[in-house]
Amino acid sequence: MADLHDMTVAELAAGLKKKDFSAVEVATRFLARMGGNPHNAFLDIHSETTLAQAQASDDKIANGTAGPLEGVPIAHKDIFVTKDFATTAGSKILKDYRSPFDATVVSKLREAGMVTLGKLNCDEFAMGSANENSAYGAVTNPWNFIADPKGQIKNYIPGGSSGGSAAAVAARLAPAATGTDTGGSIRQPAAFCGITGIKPTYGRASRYGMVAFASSLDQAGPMARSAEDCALLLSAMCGPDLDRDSTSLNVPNEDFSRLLAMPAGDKPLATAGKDGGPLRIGVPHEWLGGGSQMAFDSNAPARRSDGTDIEVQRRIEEALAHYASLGAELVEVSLPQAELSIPVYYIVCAAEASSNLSRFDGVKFGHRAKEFSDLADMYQRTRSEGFGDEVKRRIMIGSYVLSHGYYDAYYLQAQKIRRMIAEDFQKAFAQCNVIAGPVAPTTAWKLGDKADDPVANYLADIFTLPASLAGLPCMSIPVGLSDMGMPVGMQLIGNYLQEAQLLNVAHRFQQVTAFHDATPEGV
Amino acid sequence: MQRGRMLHRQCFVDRWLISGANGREKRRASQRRDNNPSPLKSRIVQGAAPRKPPCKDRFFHMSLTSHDIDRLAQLSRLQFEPPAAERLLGQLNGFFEIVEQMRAVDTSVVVPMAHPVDAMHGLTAAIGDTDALGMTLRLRDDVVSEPNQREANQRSAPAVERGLFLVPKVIE
Repeated sequence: MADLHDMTVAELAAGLKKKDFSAVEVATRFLARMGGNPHNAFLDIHSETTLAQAQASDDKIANGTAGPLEGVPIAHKDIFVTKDFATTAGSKILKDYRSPFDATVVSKLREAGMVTLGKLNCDEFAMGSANENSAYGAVTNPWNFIADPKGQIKNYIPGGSSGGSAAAVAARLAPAATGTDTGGSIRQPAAFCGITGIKPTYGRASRYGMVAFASSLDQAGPMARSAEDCALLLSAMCGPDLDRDSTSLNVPNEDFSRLLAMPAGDKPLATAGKDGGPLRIGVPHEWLGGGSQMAFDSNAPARRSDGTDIEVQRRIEEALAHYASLGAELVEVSLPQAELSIPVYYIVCAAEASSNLSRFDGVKFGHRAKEFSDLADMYQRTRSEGFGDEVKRRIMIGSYVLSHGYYDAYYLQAQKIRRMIAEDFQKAFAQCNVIAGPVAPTTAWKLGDKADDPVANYLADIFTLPASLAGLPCMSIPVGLSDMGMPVGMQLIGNYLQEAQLLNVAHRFQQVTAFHDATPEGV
Repeated sequence: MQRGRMLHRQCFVDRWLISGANGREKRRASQRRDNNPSPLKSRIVQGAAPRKPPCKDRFFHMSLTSHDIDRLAQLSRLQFEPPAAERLLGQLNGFFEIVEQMRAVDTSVVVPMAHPVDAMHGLTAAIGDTDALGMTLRLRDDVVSEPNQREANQRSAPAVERGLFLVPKVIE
C-alpha cells in the first residue's frame, strides 16, 4: 500500500470505505506534512477543526451514512469564503476576515464528505500568474526546490493565481485542492507544478461565496493528481445554485466520471468521437503550426536564450503523437482572433474588477485606515493601504476603460472581439471534438524574474485566455518535463458542457503514460 | 520581458498607427483600399512573416499623462505617492500599447458579448437545446430567502455601534 500522503483521491476514498485506514489517520498525516507550512502554500490551518471533521467522517463511515468522498481531505483556495477558517483572498484588506457562511463549492464538498485541511495561498483577489501578488508572501514551486532558510536562493514560481493549490498538491500536502480560474488560474499553476486541473464550463460551479474578481469569467474547479480525481471532485462541486448565483446554469449535475472507462480497446480513442468515429483533436495552427507567431515566434528563434519555448512545443507535439497512436485523429484548426485575447481579457477583467472591488470601502468588512479627515479620505486611505500594486493597476485600468469617452473604444470593443473569439471556437469545434495546445509558452520562471513587469506576466497568459473569454471547459494535464526538470502542461479545451468527454480524453492519456505520477525530488 | 517580443509588439503597434495625429484616418483609408477589415487576422491566417515597418520612434497613440493618473485615482478612490504614480503611468502605457492592436479590428457588425451564457445561446446543434438547458440569465423571485444574521454579518466590520455601521460624519 502506498503512503497515505501519496494516494490519489480515488485511492483514499476506496481505502476509507474499506476501513483500511481512518479519516483521522489520513487527516493527521496531512496535517503533519503541512507543519512548518512548506512552500508557504497555506494561509490558514486549524488542526482541531480538521480533526473534528475527520472524526465526524469516521462516524459516518461506521454508521453507513458516508458521502461519496467521505473522509478524503481537501484544501481550499483562499478565494472561497469559509466559516471555520479565515478568508483573505490573499489581500491585506481582508486580513482576519471571517465569513458568516461557506461558499457553495465548499459546502458541497463538505456534503460529499470531504475534510477541510485549510486555506491556500493565492494571488491577491486571484490577480496574477505567479502567485507573487499575495500579500502574505510568494509560494514556491515544489519542483527543483532548494530549501533555503535565509531566502537567498531564487526558487521557481508555482504559477498563479491558484499557486498555493498547485504547490500543495504537487508537494503532497493535500491530495486535492480547489482553485478558481478567471484567465488560466487553475490551468497554468497546474501545468507549472505538474498536476491536473480542470475549469468547467462557465456557470457549472456556483460563484456564491467566491470572492469576486471578474464575474463574467470567474469559475471554480478542482486541482488534483489525475483526471480521474478531477472527475470525482468536479461531480461533487458542480450543480445548479439558482437562487444564489444568477449565472449558475440550470443544468442537472452530472457524474463526470461516467465516461472515464469508455471506450476500451487497443486503440481506445478510435471510437471516442461523438459520431463513433475516431476522436478528433483540433490543433490551432496559430499555437503550434508552422506559421505560429503568437508565442513560438518562428521569426525570432533566439528570442529566448534558455530555449524553453521550443521544449514546451516539443513536449506538446510528443503528447499529440501519443494521442495519434491511441487512435485519435489530429486536425488543424484556426483561432484567428486568439492573439487578441490578451488586450480583450485584461480590459474585460479590469473593468469587472474595478466594479467588484468597489465594495472594499472600509465600512462593512475588512481593513479601515486608522487616520483620515473625512469619508472620501477614509475610502482612499483604506483602499490604498489595503490593496497591492497589481490590484490597484487593474482597478485603474478598469476605471479608465469604463470612463466617459473611452467606454466604446475599449470596453465595448473588447466585448465585441470577445464574441469573435467565442465564435472562432465554434467554427473549430465543427471540425473536432476537443482542442489541444500548450497551457503556457514557457515552464515556470524563477521568483522575481517578471515581478516588476506586469505586461510580461499578462503575455504569459496567451494560451489560457481564449477559452476563459468563451466560457469553455478546459484543463491542463502534465506531459513531461523540460531539460531543467520543470513540468510542462498540455491544455485540452472542450465545447460547452463537454467536461465528461474532456476528462475521458485526459484519462485515456494518463492510463498509458506516467507524467501525472511524477513527484518532485525531495517530496 | 523578452526583447524580441517587445520589439515585435512595438513595431506591430506602429504599423497600424501610422505616426501622427491623423493615424486613425489613414488607417481607415488603407483598410477601405485593401478591403481588408482585419489586417491582424490576415497576418495570422496567412502565417506570413510580419512585415517590419520602420520602428524608429516610440509612438503612443493614447499615452496617458500624470494628469490622467490623478483623475483615475480619484475615480478609483486610490492614492499614489509621486514615485508610485510615475511607475504606474509607465506600466499603464505599456499595457495600452498592446491594447492598440485591438482597435484595428473591424467589429461594426459584431454584437458585444457581455457573458459566456450569452455565447451558449443558439448552439443547439453543438450542445443540445440551450433554452431548455436554462442558459438564460435569470433573476430570482423578489422574496425573502435569507434569515436575519446582522450580528454574524457585522462581526468583521471595522466599526459598529448598536447594530449600525459607523462611518465618518457625512452631513454637517
